[in-house]
Amino acid sequence: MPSTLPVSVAAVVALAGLALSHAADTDALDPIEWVHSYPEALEQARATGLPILLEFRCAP
Amino acid sequence: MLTDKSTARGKLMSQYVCARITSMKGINIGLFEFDRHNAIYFFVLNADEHIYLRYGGRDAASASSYLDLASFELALETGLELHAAGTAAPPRAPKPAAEYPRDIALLNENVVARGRCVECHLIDDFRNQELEQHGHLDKLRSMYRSPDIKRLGLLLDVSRGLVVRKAKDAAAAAGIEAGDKITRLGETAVHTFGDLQFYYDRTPRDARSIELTVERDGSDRTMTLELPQQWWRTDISYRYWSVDPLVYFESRPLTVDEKHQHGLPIAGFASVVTKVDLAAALRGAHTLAVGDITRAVDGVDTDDVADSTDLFIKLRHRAGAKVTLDVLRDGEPLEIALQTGRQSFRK
Repeated sequence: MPSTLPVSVAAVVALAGLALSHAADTDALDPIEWVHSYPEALEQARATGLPILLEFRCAP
Repeated sequence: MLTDKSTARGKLMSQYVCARITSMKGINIGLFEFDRHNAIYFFVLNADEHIYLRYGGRDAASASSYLDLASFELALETGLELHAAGTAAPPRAPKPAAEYPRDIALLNENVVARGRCVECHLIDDFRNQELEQHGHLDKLRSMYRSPDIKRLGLLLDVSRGLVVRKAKDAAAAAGIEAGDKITRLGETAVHTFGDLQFYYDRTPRDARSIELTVERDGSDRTMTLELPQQWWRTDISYRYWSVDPLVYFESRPLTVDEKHQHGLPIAGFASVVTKVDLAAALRGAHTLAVGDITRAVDGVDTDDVADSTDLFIKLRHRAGAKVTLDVLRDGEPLEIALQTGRQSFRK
């Protein structure tokens, strides 16, 4: 039976494309803040009128 | 991903509430439906849970074939434009009924109730298993998720979103040209590759054609693409096979010459065994060997869809089924019993 390893590998590969600037970003002075609760995101969106960028991903 | 607010991407993301979710527990999976074998997937929506667009998707070659920073930023820009336009436009589909991981009994029993991380792929794994147990699983859809648009001859300029880089085959025959920007699939507006792949996946597997609308020179043109035979069929070797039953072997279809040589029907699914899982012996599932030619299953040698014996069994039999294979080994006919199995999804 295949293991779940390919999913993990896929995660790394997929993230690589979006994190090309990760090395530089680690020195960022003012990074984007992420919330880790969907209800909290909805609450913030209601309060601010901003749209939500919702990311689902395997845990790093 | 750490992104500085002063960068171009950071300036776009600063106009969003950014939320990162790593466990699906408590998430409305009815609303946030996607092919769970994407390891990363984005939605852009508003506080009323009106989904503007998706960003994600992949093909068999790579998890990042359709993901890059330029297309991500393009999606962010489009999301802001759609949000600014308000929700006056009707949603692309009625809001689906709410569903949570706990609502899938097997997932709840094996993962949620045990306090384990509700990983995305487990949702489909257990949902499929539950449907299969009740005889309601549409295997063609569930095994072959996210059909590859390259089979239509559609090659995208990924960094430019849905702009066509090259059109071949069905796409070219329909009149699609390089530089066209895909804007609709049927009646559904699509803004990203994630949108296109998600809605394309919803096309019934017996469909003969689809309509794509493209923007060319500032005007919309709707094209009808004739779907090739088995258009939904793609290389799924990269994904966890989450559809029962297990057959404990792999085979490749015989060539026409090989079928002639053995006097087998050209339209049949006769195939040669290329791999035998170790579990076959451990579970006493069968005694097939690499090189065996499987000619029929319970006397059946042809199928509308399957072109190999292992696929025929997966498509037409359920977990626990007992079948008899008509086999040629070293030129001698013999019958081999096979019992299919059920996946455990244990780590």
